[in-house]
Formats: sequence, C-alpha cells, structure tokens
Amino acid sequence: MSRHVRRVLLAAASLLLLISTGCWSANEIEDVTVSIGLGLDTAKESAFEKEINEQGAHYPKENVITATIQIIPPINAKKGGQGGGGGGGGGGSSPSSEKAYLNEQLTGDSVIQIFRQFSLRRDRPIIGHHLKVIVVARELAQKYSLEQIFDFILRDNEIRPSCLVVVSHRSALEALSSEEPGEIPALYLLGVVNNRYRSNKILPPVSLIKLDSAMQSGASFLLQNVVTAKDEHKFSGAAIIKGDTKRWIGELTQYDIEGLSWIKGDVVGGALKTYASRGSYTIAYEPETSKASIIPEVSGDDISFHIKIKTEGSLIEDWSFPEVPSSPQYIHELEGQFEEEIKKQIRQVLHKMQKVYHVDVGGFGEQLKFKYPKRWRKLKERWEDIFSHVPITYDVNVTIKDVASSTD
Amino acid sequence: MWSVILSYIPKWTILVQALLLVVIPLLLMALFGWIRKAIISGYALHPNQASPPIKEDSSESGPLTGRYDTDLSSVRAAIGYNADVRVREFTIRGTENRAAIVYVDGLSDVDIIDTHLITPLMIHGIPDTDQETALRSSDSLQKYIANRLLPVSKLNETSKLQELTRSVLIGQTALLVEGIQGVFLIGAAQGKVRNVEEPLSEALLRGPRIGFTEKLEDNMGLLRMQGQNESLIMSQFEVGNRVKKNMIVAYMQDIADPRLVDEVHSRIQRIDIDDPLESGYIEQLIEDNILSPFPQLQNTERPDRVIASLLEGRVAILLDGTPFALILPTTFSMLLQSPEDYYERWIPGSFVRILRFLAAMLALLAPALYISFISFHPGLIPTKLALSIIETRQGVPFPSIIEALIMEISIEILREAGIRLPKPIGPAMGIVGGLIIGDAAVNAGIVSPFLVIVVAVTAISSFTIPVYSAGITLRILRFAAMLIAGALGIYGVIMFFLLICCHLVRLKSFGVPYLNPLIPYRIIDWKDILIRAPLKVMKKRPYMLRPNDADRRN
Amino acid sequence: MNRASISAEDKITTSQAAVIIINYTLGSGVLTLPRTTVEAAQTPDVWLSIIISGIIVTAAGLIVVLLCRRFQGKTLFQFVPEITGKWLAWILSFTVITVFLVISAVQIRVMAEVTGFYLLDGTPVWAIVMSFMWIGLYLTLGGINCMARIYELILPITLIFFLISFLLSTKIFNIDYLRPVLGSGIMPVLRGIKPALFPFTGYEIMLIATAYMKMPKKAVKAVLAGTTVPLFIYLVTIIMVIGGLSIYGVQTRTWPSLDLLRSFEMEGLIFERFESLLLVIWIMQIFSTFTVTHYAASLGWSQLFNKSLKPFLFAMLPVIFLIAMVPKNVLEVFKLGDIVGNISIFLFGGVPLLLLLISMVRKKGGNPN
Repeated sequence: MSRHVRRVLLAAASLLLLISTGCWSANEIEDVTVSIGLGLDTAKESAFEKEINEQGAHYPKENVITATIQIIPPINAKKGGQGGGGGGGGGGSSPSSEKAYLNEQLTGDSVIQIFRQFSLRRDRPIIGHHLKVIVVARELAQKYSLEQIFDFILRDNEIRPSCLVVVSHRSALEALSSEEPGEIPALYLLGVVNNRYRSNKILPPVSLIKLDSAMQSGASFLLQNVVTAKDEHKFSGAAIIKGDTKRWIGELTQYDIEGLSWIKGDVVGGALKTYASRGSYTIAYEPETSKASIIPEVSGDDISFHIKIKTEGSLIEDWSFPEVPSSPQYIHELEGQFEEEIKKQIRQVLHKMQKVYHVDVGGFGEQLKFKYPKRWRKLKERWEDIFSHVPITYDVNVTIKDVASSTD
Repeated sequence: MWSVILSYIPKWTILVQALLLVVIPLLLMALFGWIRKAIISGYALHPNQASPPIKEDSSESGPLTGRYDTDLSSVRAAIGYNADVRVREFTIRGTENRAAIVYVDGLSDVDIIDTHLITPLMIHGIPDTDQETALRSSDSLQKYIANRLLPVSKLNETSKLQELTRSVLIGQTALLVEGIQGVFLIGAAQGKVRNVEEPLSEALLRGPRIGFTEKLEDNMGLLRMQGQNESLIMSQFEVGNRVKKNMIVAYMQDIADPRLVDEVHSRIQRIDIDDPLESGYIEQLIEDNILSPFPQLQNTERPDRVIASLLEGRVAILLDGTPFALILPTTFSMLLQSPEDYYERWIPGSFVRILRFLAAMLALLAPALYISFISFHPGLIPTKLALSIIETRQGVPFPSIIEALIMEISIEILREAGIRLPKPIGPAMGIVGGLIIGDAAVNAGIVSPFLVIVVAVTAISSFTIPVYSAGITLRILRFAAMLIAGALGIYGVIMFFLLICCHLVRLKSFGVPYLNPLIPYRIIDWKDILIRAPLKVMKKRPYMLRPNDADRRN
Repeated sequence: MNRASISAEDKITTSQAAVIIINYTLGSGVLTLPRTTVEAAQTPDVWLSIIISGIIVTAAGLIVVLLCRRFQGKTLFQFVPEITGKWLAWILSFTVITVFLVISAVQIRVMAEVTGFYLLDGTPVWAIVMSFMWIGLYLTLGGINCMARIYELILPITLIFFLISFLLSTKIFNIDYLRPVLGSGIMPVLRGIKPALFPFTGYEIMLIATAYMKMPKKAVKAVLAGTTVPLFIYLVTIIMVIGGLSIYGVQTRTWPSLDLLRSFEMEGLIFERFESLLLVIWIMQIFSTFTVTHYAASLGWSQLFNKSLKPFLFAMLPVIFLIAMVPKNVLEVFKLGDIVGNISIFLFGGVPLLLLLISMVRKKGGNPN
C-alpha cells in the first residue's frame, strides 16, 4: 500500500471518527440483523448448544424456554464473501443457500437474556422492529401463563404491538420452517391471515396489542392455531386461552371456528358445504354478508341468550344429478338445508364452549355487559361458570340471493 | 429522610452540563455579535459621513480658458495619452474657424460623428449670409452652431475640463471650436450592447420572452413599456465612489408604502463602495441580516416580474451594467413563485406551485431523512423496503452519512462544472457525471443504489426552484441537515427544521417579516401561497406590504 | 418607562393568542392522557370526562380573561401587586414562576425519555435536551411575536399529521371497546375529570398573553378557540386509542397513543408505520410548550425585578435543566407532573377567581369595557 493511499485513508478515518463520535445511536441498517419471526418452545437444547455446552460454554440457567428467531436475509456469502462469512450455523436448521431465511435457536430462562445471548453468536445485533409473527408452542402455553411468556415482548421498545400472535400445535420451530425455496415462513403466516375474505375458518388476526388487552380484560380468548406437517403449514382451528390462568386449555376445530364466525357475525367469505335433501348431493353456499345479534335476556335471576343470524349469499356449487332447475321452491329448500348446517355448526361450538371447556369466547358476556351493565358487574367474577349453564337459543335465516353465474 | 433528599441532589456531571447549557449559547451569541460587528465596522470606514446620492464634483482643475490651442493641449495633456482617445481637427466651412472633436474609439458612435457633426460643419458650414450674426460674439457662435449645425438630440455644453474629460471617457464626443468659450458634448456612449433576449436564468414556457439588458436606459424603457402607468416612479441615484453608476429605484407612487420607499432611499445612501459591479453588490450592502442563509432581496431578469411586484407594492432597484433587477421586500413565498403560475390558469398554476413546495422540502430534507432512517431508525421504514435496502447496502464500506456526503458533494461539483463549461459540453458532462459515475459508484460498491436514487431526486427537485439564489440556499442548508441527521437521526432533522423555522420567523426583509403572508394567519393573504387563487379572487393587494391602495382592480 | 414593559411592536393578534394557548396546551399529555384517565375512571366513558373538563377549563380561562381585561397592558406579575399588595404578590408570582418552570422541566424530561426510548436509544440525555433547549432559547430571544409565529407554523402541520395518523388507526378501531356508554354510572366519569384536567392546562398563559394582545377585548374568543381545538384533539385521541386498544390494553401501556400507532401497519402506503409522524408533531408540540413556559417564567422574573428579559432567558435554561434531571425515572416524572398538575389546577383555577373577586370588591383595575 503506497504512502499516499495510507494518508488518504487516515484522513478519511479521522473524518469518520469525528462524525461517529457524534452519533451515539447510529447503527447502520446493513450492520443489523432483522428478526422477522419469533418462535417460543419449551426448553429443548439444540445439537449445537449441546456441543457447545460440552466445551464448557454454558452459563447458569434452568432451561425454561427455547426461542427461535427467524432472521432475514440470511448472511450467506452472497457478494463474494463481503457479507461477513457464511451463516453462523443455526442450531435448529442448517442454512442452505436457497433459503431466504435463517432460524437461530437458543435455550434459556428469560426471553431477554436469550435475545442478548444471540449477540454472542452473531456479528450483527438483532433488531426487533420488524418482527411480524410470534409463534407460541401449545406445550409452552400449557405450561406457563401467556402473561409470563410475553412480559418482555410487551415491554420491549423495539417489538411493535402490531406483531401477529399464533399458537402452533407442534413446536414453534417447525411452524417457522419451510422447505420451499425463497419462502419466508413468518411472512407466509402473515399472508395467510389476510385470506380471511376467502375463508371463515380463519380467526380475525390477534396482534400483540390485542393479546395484551385480552389478557388484561381477564376474559378467555382464542388464538389462531397453526398445524404443521412435513414443513408445510396450515391454519386450522384455534387455541383456547383461559382468561384467569392465561394458559392453553384446549382447541377448537376448523368446524367450530366456522360456527363461531356465524355467532360473531363476522363472516366475510368462505364456503358452507352441506348435502342436498334430495339424493344427498354436495351443495355449497358462499356467504356475502352475515349479521348476527346476540340478545341477552334477563328475567329475575335467569339469564338466557338468543342469537339471530341473517346471511345473504349465493349458491355456488350444486352437484345434484340430474340437475334441478333453480326454482324458488328449490332454492327455498336449499336455504333450509344451509340453515340446518349452520345450526349444526353453532350447536357444536356452543357445546364445546359451554360443556367441554367452560369458556366464553363468543362475546356473550360482552353483550350482557352492554345491555345489563349492573347485572354484569355482579356476575363478572364467576361468569364462565354461569355461562356454562345458560340456555342459548338461536335462529338462522339464510337467503340465497342469486345462483352465481349459472342459472341451472 | 436526608438520604432521600440527598439522592435527588444532582451529580456534578449534571451541574457541568447545566453550566454548559448556558455558557455555550452565551459564547455563541457573543461570537455572532462579534462577527456582525466586525463586518459592519469594517465596512463603515467613514461612519459619520454618509455618501450623498449624487456626489458633488470636486474639480479643482478649473474651467476651460476659451482659447482653442490652450484648451486642446490641456485636453491632450489630460487624456490624450490614452491609446483610444482620438482627436480630429478640421476647419468649419465658411468662417474657417478651427475645430476639434475628441472621442473614444469604440465607445462613441462614429456614425453620428461623421454624418451629424463633421458633415454639417465641414461641408455645409456657416453660409455667408449668416456669418455676421454668428460671428458677432462667442455666445452667438455657440448658439448658432448648436441651433443650426448640430442635428443631434443629445447635446450638452460645458466649460469645465474635468467634466469634459469624464464625459469623453464615458463615450460622449467633445467638440471644441475656436472662438467659443465652452465645449459641446454630443451623443452618448454607443458601446457594444447586447440585444434584448430571453432571460437565461428564468426561462418560462408561457410569458413574455424578454429580459433586461446591461443598459439602464433600455431597462427603464422595458419597464415603462410593460407598465404603462403614470404613477410608475423611477428615481435616479448614483452609487459608487470611484466608478459612478446610475441606479434606479422604481415603485408605484400610489401603491407602495412611502415608509418603505424612504427606508430604501436611506439604505441606498449609506452604500459606500468603489464600484458596485452588479446588483448583487447592492443586495449585499442593503440587506437586513448578513448572517442569514436566505436571500432577503430577490433578483430577476424579467421585467414582467418586476412590474408584478411593483403592483403589489414592492420596490425595485435597477443598476446600470447588469440585467438583474432587485425586488424588495422579499418574502419566503416569493422564492417558490414563478410568473408562469399567474399566466397559466389557476388550477395548473396551483398544482405546479404545490409541486414546487414539495420539491423544496425534498431538496432540503431527502438526504437527511435517508441518513436518519438508514443509520438510526431502521424500524420506522416498511419491512420490505428495509430488506431491500439491507440487501443493496451489503458491502458498502461507509456509514450512510459519509456515503451521502460523497454523493452530494460530487453532484454539487458536477453542477458547478456544468455551469462553467461551454454550452455544448455542459449537458454531455452532466450525463457522463450523473450516469457513469453514479453507475460506477454503485458497481464498485461504494454507495448503494438506493442512495443514488435519493440524490438524483434531490438534485432534480432543487432544479425546480424558480429562483436560483433560493436554490443555493437550499443546497447549503441540505448539507447542514445531513450533518445534524448524522448526529441525532430524525430527532436532529426535526430540530433542524425547528431551527430553520425559528430563524425564518425572526428574519425580516425591509421591515416585512420573511414568512409573511403565511403567518400570521390572514386568510385574505393566503390566496397566493400554496395555491394560486383565481385572478377574480385576488382582488386585494397583499396586506403585509401595507399598500396605499389595496384594491387590485384600480 | 421600565425596561420590562412591552414594546409596541411585540404585539400579537387574536388568532395568535389562540394559537399560543393551543400549542401550549398540547404537550406531553396527548401521549399519556388515555392511560391516566382510564386508570382513574376504569370505564370507556372517559371521553365524557374529557368533554366536562374541557368545559371547566373554558370557564377557568374566561375568568382569567375577565381578570386580565381589568388591567390592560399588564401581565399577571404586574397587576397582582395592585390587587393583593406587594408581599402576597411576590409569593404568588414566585409560585406561578415555579409552576411554569416545573411544567417546562417535566415536558423536557418526558420528551427526552420518549425520544431516548423510541428514537435515539443510547444517545445521552444531555445531547437530546441541549440542542432542544438552545433552539428554544433562540426562539424566545425573538420575543412573543416570533413565538406566536412559529406556533402558527407548527399548528397546521400538527393538525394534519395528527388527523392522518389517527384516522388511519380506524384499521384496528373497534366500537365495542367503547361500549357500554355510562355502563357503570356517572361516578367513574367524574373520577376521570381530574386526570383529564392536567393536559388541559394552557389557558393560564392568557394571564400573560392578554397583555400583549392588540385587541384584548377579543381575548374571550382566543380562549374559546384555544380550548376547543385541544378538546377536539384529545377527544379524537381518547376515542381512537380506547377503540383501538380497549381500556384494558390502555392501562398497561406507558405511552398508549404512541402504541396505538405502533399497533397497525398499512402495507402499500409509503410509510407503513405512522408513529414517526406522531413523534414528529409531538416533539414540535413539546417544543412549543417548553418555549412558552420558559418565556413565561423568565418574563416573570424580569417583571418582578424590573430588569430586562434577556439575562433571565439565559439564566432559566440551567434551572429548567436541573429540575428536569431531578426525577430518577419515568414514574417519578409522572409523579412530578401530577404534583405540578394539582398545584396548577388550584393556582390557575382558583386563584384567578379569588383575584377577580378581590379586585372587584376593592375596585382595582379599569372597567373591562
């Protein structure tokens, strides 16, 4: 290196120093690692950790929780090795060059400590501003209260409260893994939530802030459940979190969720399948609008609810053979068929809520609160016990407005 | 109890900080005060002696004698050694009086000399019938020649040597005639002047394609032509201690606030300089705040712009020898207005104006925001954007502030080079610089492609500012914004914005607050800031200038 | 006459007076108001508390104006001696100045805390605070007219950014969170009034600003406008925040309004995240609150001692800084804010009424007409 170049470098360096003394908080965007997904599992040390620990590189801990952080873009040798040297070797999954993400796993007691522990392993600090999805394993949620698990996450100044929270049936790491090249599992999960207009089997998204307010309100609530198999994901059903313990107590199936969405009246899409009375052929109905009102009735000490559901939509599929012309009479018959199906769904979910899990996740208590606030205050404490025995009636009104593009 | 109270007593570091908090602004204020004082006191070498608008001739060299030979030789002695001073001697036909013309080659109009001076005197002369009356005395000869033999409009007489030499040197032709006491001064400088052209610095698509020239008389003519109005007052001043230049202060007598006009007059009289080369000299000598980065007088080459300002109640200053007129008082909104806004219909006019405001904001803050987001707040930008920036910035060796400084400085250099270069090369230079260097820098991994976009947008935005000097201001401030963003991120940018606002609200131009009419709120004056209201709505002249006659329809 | 008197040029228009009140009122309160009120009331009906406190504050402001109009061209510090006599006036003026200083300090500290937490993690507090205070000093040195002008510049930006960011939060707005109305009766609403009054303190600047008005007769108008706009902003804030976070979510968040904007993302819109907008306008609002209180306190000293204003503007900087640095953490800052809020409610709500009555009885001051 010639003397000239060295001098220029020296000047540049001193200028840099001069400026960088001024910027205490400066941290170039390319020098940080963006974590986009966070998975929380019960403690299970990865092979990497075990090997490391054997070399004596461990610190005192009881191993409560295993956190998986999904970071993008993976720093593999993309631009001729400028990126900072390939990988760092994730414990959970080995980085392959086609993957658009990297999962890092660590085990420990406190979430923040695990987070900071990552800086021992990565040359670029992890920032949480862009965290999009948090996956909690069912097992962990069963063992610990969500309030404990999420305490750090809710306090942190980097993680945005807009972050989506889901529960995974198996381990969270699996939910955050994918074999599809170029796919980022965290963004994938986020994208599926937006399909609500296509299916009423997906719960309204629960963001961190909604989770916080739900936990604070003391009522039971649902979290979207993710089922994984062979590194593929599916949104299926929901996890029930009990209001007083904030722990996982059970699951609702897809079918239950459908029933629940009718009760809540927030159906914005999806398909309702049943079988025609004549010849039990498949018929399907696509709801366009649905309205539900839960009407609490109080007479003396007795509380009861009546649910009125009205929906309009179109007949979207009809397997009937031979084809039946869409006469008003036939349509009316089908409407009855669909009403029965909806009732069936509702019956099932109400049974689960009242008899199996003793939780109110359908917003019944809320309606009671709106209409009879004084009564509610008295019942608030033991509402879920009372709810289990409250009679609930419902009527469903399906109107088939049109028969889609085909008139047969 | 005591320990609780004690624990609240601030540590010494805090106390030192508190001390610094008050000492540093005191020092800064003292420094600025000192600079300002130093500038002003350095300028006012003759603090008590205001130079009068028209300097009295302090000629000591006495009058001409009236004897032809003596006078001619004294003229020769005074200026004859100049290579370009020519003396042509001849005799007047009829009376055979000797005569001489003295002129400057290249400055005087030789055509006039030949056809209107030499021809009548040498060829026609004084006919015999008139000789008696003409030759009766020195006066009668003078009168006769002036009345009968010199068919020129610009004719002066003088009997002072000093005035003669001065006039000859600025382009007049002196005629000495034997037997006459005084000297005729004929014609005016006919030096080479530019034709009236379209103004270069303020091009318009729609609007008069006429700009001022370097000649004051022509410019006054242009003004009169544009604003045919008897209340247009143009009062003449002479500035410059050594080189005297004429200066015109123009205003509408029944519109402009007389106090404003008085203020302008008094400031002009305080000008003390050897030679005001350009109106920029005048601007800098009469402006309110020397340390402000903002131009407090607007310069323009367009007569229509001057007239429009005069009609609002402003005052214009025209200086001999420059095509740039000054308009004052200047307010912030003027810097982003173009005459075209008014010539187009009001909807496109308003659209373009809003666009320009936006461009000004971009030109000022875009690189600073880039720096603060990249270096400080990766959490405040959209995830996907953050990801693509991370990918494009892999391998960039500098922090964003250095990176941005490199690019901004090189683009400023490019721009400066583009102005200096001859016209055919300039655009080519821009292309080479902009495209090739930008591309090469990205490929070499010195800067990120995203920054190149930011810098390019910034540069293009700053070209939309219709007033060149305002553009320079924004360019300077942009660097300040970048530096503070490099230290404090977006918080620094906010602080910078507040500082600029604080400065702007404190700034005044000839007694008019700089941010008028934006603030204070006066709905009536808002018709011409962000949007340009339909002309039928703009019935009133801006209140801020306190016009004598507020109704625009008059 | 004396050096602290008001120069003829440094006058403000009626709209400027209103803008001063608005900008002074809008301060750190916007960020914490939903939490403080909900904590006290425990119902979603706190928007009613806001309206009630808005009305109370307007009434208090009118009393202040009535009082000030009896003494045209004089600020609080100049006319109080006429009403109460010298010693009492000194004590009162001293208290008022202290309150201004503490408000100023609390604002500075809250600003530093939030900026340090969300924007500049790791930057020392003094670096944040010093640049802020120096720019404030540069402004206050320009006099009240310059201050009024910059507030006029800031206000439209504030309103536009505020409305944009909060209207976007309709994405997570849920009307059910605001129901039932008056479900637990009127009592909780009344409990929410006190914390709702704190962020409304701002009308008291009329004790000083009336003296600078070109047309003091229109001071009533200024007060009405000056309380309506903050009322509107607070109402929108509280409704959107509770509708977005529910009263349960609000209570656990330190800065609920900021968290509301952090709770949603709009993909496709350039920004996607809108808390930066809120932080920008909010820092500007803190700036205006700080400069107003700083100016008012310094003016108080200068008029008490009948000296020129400038040295006091400088001298008050370190004082405010030291007060701001006294609390050890955010919670203590809030506590200090509560204390000074309580005092100011009494000081600017009760005392002016008392002064007005005394001055009427003792027939001091000119006729308001």
